[in-house]
Amino acid sequence: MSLLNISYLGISGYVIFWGMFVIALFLFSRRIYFLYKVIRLGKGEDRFDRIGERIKYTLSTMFSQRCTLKSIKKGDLAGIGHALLFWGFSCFFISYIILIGFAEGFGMQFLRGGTFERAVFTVLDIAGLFVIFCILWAAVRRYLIKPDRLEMSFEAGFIMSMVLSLMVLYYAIESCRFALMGESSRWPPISMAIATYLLEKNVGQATLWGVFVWSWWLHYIFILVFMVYIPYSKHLHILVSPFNLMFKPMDRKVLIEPVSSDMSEEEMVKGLGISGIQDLKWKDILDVFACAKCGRCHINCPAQLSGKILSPREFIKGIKEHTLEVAPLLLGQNGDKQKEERGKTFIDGKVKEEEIWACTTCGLCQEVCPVEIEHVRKLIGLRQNLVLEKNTMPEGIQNMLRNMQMRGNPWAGAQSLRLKGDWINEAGMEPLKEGDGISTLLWVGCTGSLIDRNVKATISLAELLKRAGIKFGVLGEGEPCCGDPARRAGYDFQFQILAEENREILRSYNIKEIITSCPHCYNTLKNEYPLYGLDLKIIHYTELLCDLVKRDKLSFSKTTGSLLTYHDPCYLSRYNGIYQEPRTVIGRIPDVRYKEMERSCKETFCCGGGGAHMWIEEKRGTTRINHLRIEEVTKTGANAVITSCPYCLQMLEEGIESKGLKGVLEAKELSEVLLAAMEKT
Amino acid sequence: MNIIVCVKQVQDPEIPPSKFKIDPETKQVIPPAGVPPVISVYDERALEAACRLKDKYKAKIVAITIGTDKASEVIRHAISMGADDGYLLCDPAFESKDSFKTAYILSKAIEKIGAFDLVLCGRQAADWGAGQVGSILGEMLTVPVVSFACDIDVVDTGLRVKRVVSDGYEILEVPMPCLITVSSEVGLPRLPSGMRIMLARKKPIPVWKATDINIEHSLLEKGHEHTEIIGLVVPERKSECEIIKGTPKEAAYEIAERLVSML
Ligand code: SF4
Ligand code: SF4
Repeated sequence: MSLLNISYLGISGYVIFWGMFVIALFLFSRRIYFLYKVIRLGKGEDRFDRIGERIKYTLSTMFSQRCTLKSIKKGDLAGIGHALLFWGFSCFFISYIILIGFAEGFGMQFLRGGTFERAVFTVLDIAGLFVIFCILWAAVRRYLIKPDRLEMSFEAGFIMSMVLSLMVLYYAIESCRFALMGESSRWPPISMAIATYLLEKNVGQATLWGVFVWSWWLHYIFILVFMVYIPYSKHLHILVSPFNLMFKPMDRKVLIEPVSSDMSEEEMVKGLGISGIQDLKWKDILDVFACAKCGRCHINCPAQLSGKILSPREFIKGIKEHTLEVAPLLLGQNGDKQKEERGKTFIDGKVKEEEIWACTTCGLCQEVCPVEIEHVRKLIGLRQNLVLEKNTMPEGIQNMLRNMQMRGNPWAGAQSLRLKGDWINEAGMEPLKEGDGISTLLWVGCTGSLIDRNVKATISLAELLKRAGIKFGVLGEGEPCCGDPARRAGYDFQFQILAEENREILRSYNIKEIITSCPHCYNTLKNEYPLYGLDLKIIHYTELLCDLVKRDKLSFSKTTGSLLTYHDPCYLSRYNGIYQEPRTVIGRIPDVRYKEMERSCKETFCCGGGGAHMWIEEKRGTTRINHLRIEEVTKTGANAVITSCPYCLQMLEEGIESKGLKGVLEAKELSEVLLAAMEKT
Repeated sequence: MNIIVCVKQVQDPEIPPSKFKIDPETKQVIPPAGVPPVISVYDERALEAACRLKDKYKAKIVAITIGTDKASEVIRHAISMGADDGYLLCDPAFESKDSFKTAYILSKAIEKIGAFDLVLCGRQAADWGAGQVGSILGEMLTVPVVSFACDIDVVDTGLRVKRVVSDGYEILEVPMPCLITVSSEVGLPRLPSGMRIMLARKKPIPVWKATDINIEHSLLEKGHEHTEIIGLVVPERKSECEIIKGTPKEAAYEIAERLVSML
């Protein structure tokens, strides 16, 4: 019963069918080509390595819907909803190609009738139910429950009604068709049931035929409208997100783009860091098209939750809007020079300077984003532009960078120099000398060697390592800054200068292996220094301790008494996947009482100190991020929150103090807790 | 406008007292490990003043320093802040604590650099704090000198300078060429932009020896110094604390009496 063999007002069904298809395809392709050109405006970047692995990851993530099922708060069933919708609609999508495209369009009628068709319709019948259910559910959530993370939009409503209509029309078409054929069977269950009902009610053949024909064409038109509408709407993510998954950063969650130091003066004048789309990489542009505006990043971002103006969702949206606005100008479809110039920067247009500095680079947005969007490197790129080119930054950052430039460490003046190197006397150590034959270095970091509170933790760590029989050296006064705060603040050249200087220092001592105490040093030394020619074995002390306890080289005999919880530092857990190790070690404390926080491991919540935020005053009138975290700590009822990062330790202590929890709750470095759990030697 | 800024590398004035060591024999400060030398804070402000003039008017800034090869770092710092060129005056014969000798060496270098409209110095060095080089240099260059400036601007007749005095400030006008020493009230020096850092890294810094600037060696010999260091000591830091007992009223009387007796 092909509708295309019939003529409509003297025009062949085939002509109408293909005519409409060609128009839709033209509109669709024109948009896709435009978007492709926009993405090509971005700078080159090789994301095509390990392609097999990338494709495998994409397919498995997409079809398993792991992307949307992860990182959803308890009780938020949207992930399952999306998965059902995806699976259900995928069935329909395939059927459109086979049953409408091939069977009707190309007249391959052998695909119709018979068991194959039965089976297909049975699947569709059931899938349709799921889809309808999910759409209604989504509508209820969006328009009645209104969760924080979703924005109301016309687009969403339009798409939902579109999909719903497609489903209803599908049932109308199939039941009328079965009724017209006078068939009765149990499969496909729903269409057949409706058909039987229609026959029982003696609905006339003409009516059935009329409804069938109209529904069929309407259904077809809706599919075409849907196809054309997608690339013009926020549902672009349907098309783009698979590619975004495919081109994600492979080994690490968060990458930062260094500013090339090989630039000539003219090139530098053209721009440093990111200020407009011309400075983005193509993947950054792909990112903004892939965003589904699901808002997962928005409801998890510590800056947003503490009342700052930054929302990673809105940030991405801003860049997308800006891109779509100025891309036609940049692509030369319109010769308005003035607009073109203005279009070159989104700073203080779609993206506010205050937003750029509000990010702690914690990376939680990227962790929870279902489509692997990279927010952090864009934000840092913008900082690079502000700092390197425009010389504008918060006062605290300016002081920190000045200190780093003049005194080689981010902490201010005499106060910090007072302790430099002194801790090693207290720990009974000597600084490493050339020719000592020691190839393992304990890299303490500026905070661990300059700030009183952190120095205590450093001494505990040195003692712990000594007791475990590790042979290691320290640089003492000669230990430079790794440069992390400069890089996170966007002052990338300073970072690069330090990296190169440090490479020479470490080579001169013939160091083979570095144990770091600070996760920020760990991250820079391990992940960012190789680019500057230093590729040593870098281990965080929690990894080392885990290995030692597993090999029974280190054991604990005293219990701690208090109820413990562990705060994962972002740069250790999320950035580098180290979260099991500290837990293993804590688990070895006899009779330990331990309670996990709601947000932990890879989805840990920032202490507020990362991304050079140790030196940025939090905006007045907003909540402090460390206070939010302390509230989460208190929910566990723990008496001690353990961490393994000097910044986290300071932030947690500050939080405890200003919330008046001193005496009830204490913050400890893991090494301190472990040392206390050992017998005195 | 051609501006020459004289800068000096000094031991970090923020060296904690516990780490500040001297050698009384050679009358030298022993640089502590792990605390790198820095640009003298007042000279950095002089540079800032120069850069502000450059921001506003067309200007070329040249920085000069006397020191060991390590001192090329301060020239790089000057370039990264905004100087166009810089020279390091490095010769064993230059080693001295004498302000006249220093000024003489600088004057010879300035002579070699050529015509200038303005020479800027810090009001004093952050290490010895003599505060003399600027004025002596002005004398040697035979140009007017304004000291302790906190603001400099160009006017028809030359420069209008706001200078800090003990009970406020004065505004003077001075013709160019002239020499101005800059006080910290100028404001915070800028953080070098990334572009300038890279520029400064790549820029070669010429080194001038005594012969390069036509200095008569005989004038640099010991006998020609106007100052002599007799001794160098670290002052003893003492603090005593006594708590005066009694009711607040009694204690207040007691304190008042003691203060009066000290007058
Ligand atoms: S990195 Fe953290 S602070 Fe920055 S936008 Fe993402 S979630 Fe927010
Ligand atoms: S960036 Fe990712 S998490 Fe945030 S709204 Fe877009 S898709 Fe969702």
